[in-house]
Amino acid sequence: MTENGKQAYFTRQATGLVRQIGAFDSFVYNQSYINVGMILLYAFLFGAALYPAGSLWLAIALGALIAVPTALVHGMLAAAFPRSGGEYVYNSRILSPAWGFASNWNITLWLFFYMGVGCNWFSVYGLSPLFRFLGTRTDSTSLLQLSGWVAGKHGAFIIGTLTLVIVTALYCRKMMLAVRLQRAWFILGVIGLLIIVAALTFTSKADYTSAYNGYYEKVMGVPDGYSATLAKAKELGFVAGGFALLATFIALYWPANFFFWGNASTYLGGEVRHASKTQLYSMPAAVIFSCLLAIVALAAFGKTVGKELIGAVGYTALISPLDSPGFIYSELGAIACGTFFGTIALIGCAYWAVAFVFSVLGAMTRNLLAWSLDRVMPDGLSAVHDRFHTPIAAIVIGAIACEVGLFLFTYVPAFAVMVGIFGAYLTFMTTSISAALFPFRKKDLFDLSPVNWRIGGFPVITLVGLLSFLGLLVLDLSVFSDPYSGVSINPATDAGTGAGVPFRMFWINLGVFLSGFAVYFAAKSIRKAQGTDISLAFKEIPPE
Amino acid sequence: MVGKEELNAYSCTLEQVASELVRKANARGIPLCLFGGLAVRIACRGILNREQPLARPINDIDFASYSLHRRVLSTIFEESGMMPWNEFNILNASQHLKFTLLVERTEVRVDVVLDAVRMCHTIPLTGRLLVDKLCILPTDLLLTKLQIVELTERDAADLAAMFLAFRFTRGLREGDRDDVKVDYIGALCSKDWGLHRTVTGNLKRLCDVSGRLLTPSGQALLRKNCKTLATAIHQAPKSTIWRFRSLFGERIRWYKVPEEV
Repeated sequence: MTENGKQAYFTRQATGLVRQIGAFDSFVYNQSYINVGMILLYAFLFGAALYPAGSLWLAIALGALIAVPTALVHGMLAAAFPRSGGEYVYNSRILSPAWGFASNWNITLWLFFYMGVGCNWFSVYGLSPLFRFLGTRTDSTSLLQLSGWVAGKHGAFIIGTLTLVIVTALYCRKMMLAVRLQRAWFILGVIGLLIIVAALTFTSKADYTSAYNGYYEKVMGVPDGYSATLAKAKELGFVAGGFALLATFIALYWPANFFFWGNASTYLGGEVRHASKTQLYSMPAAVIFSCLLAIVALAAFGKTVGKELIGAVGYTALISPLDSPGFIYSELGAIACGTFFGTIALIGCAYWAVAFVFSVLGAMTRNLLAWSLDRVMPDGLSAVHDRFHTPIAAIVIGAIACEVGLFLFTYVPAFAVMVGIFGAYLTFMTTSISAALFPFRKKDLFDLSPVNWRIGGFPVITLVGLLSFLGLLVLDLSVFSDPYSGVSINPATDAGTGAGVPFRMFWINLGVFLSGFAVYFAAKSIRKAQGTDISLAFKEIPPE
Repeated sequence: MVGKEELNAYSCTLEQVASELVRKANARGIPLCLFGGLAVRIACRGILNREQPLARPINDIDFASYSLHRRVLSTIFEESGMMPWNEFNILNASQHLKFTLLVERTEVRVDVVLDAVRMCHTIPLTGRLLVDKLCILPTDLLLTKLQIVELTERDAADLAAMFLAFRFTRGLREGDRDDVKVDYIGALCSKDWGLHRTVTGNLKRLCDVSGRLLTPSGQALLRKNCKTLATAIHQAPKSTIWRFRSLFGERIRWYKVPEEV
């Protein structure tokens, strides 16, 4: 520090703050929103099963490619507006308060729903495979029965509710407790996946088939499970093999829809350390990391398990669940491991099933706080608990919304697929438009922002915003092309839940988004009657 | 350009405002103690009058208290005309509150850290804040400056003032006298290699720059007190974690980087 006797000083001006969420936590948050485990699960269960002629690795690579601009849009806006509340802050300032609220209201409702879905997944895709693996390896009938119970509707609802209570309690007590647990389990989740990849890589197809047969026999009581699985799937109409570009495009939706979710840390903007860099890089990094991990895993599964078996297992599970053992990716991988490593792998992979629950509650609570502080919602929503110092009202209300989501996903067939993805993307599309217009509608803010880059005079964020919008449009086309997506613009579509149900879900998706406008204008008129003009809060970037 | 006298008068106004807030909190049995530049100004008043280059303008007010009293403190501050940083105060409710106060048409930022000062390093304050004390203990006040990795010229001046104003004595327990208990600092540094690295680095640095800030007699006293403190830190038995962390040295960052808010 001392140079030639002259002292170099720094220019810090005031009492600083060490923000709680660092670069790694931010990456974990975004990676967990994307969720590589669920990419594999849905790619196998729907992509490989329903569109066997589609190329999964191509779908994953393309999905990641079209999702990168959306990650960049969120990263750039979060760098320019380092405040909590995500698109509520950006869209309300760039477009209009009503659009800002409606887009954020929409994503918040859907994310609480998907948090409930995550609670269900933890039971069905996290604990059930683990108990079954342990039961099979230790010849424990009780564990096998427990596995069956937690995979059933009531079991999933009860375990899901318990999971929700535990995560809510952690957030109520201290957010960093949940963040630390998530960080540790995330690392175990990646290790679990890598154990599976290593085991599959070093296991020959013949050895795997033998291990699969042994495992299948203990679960289903039928010998030669490999042949039995393929035979049953063929009997039910499964046709393996080949390559078709259209099938790849339709199958694209299943892995790709996850890649667009790498934006969790935008909602925690005010708590992210060195936001301008962390936000900008952690979101695209999460997309790229997930893509690479998924492709590596896919290669290992392809080599040893084989696309045909993967598709057959998924197809039987979808068409005739009673005839299927319902093996998911983690269990198919654990079969290649010994008992110890298989257990570690499955405990790790259970993280991917529950990851969404951890991420959503923290992020969406910030949206509720932002609404309350802007007086769009009641002041009580931002109340802080005296002892725990956490926004307990927002957390508990979020948890209740999540419980409703868990109930709907578990018991109402129309909600049992990824039916809210289209609706959620309406928010991302709005944010993409917002990003594209940012340099023109808020020129002064844009010029002062750390993302004021231009190429040949044209703002980079506008280009990225347009590409993001285009990517989301491609994915929406994929959603509507797939009758099994749960959402359709064709009134006659039947995805197994009844003709017309996917069409109704399309209107529900639109309705949820539009209801945000109704809520905003109702709140505005109520506050006006109380003597408060809430639109004034949107004139500036909110202080922290 | 604002003159020195005006700055001095402004600092006096801030001191009055701070004292009034401390009085209101103390009246409710809540310890609220100053730290930062204003606390140094109050605790080292005599030295600052003698060693003029060390005197500097005060722009903000920093308080320390306990998270247990967060709600009552917020009420006191708001009743005193301060604007709370609502979102910040909710998101950081367990450790930090922020307010803005208008003093002579200038916005003053008022920070209240709760239970500890968490900047480059964490300085615990639990059980160390006293009702009826305007400032935090001299030991803690010194530590809040010694834990800064990127020292500003103001921080260096504050540190120099404290090394001249306070008595540096051995022992862990704070007595009645306003002394710096060097063994307490030694004990904290012996548990945390990072804090040890920053504090010892700053002591060396302070001795290097003292020539620019102090008179020869002031330099001699500062060096003597620095040596007393450095010896206590050196002699304190190091924990296993300290020794393990020391193996990696400066290859791993040993401090956190506080950001402007």
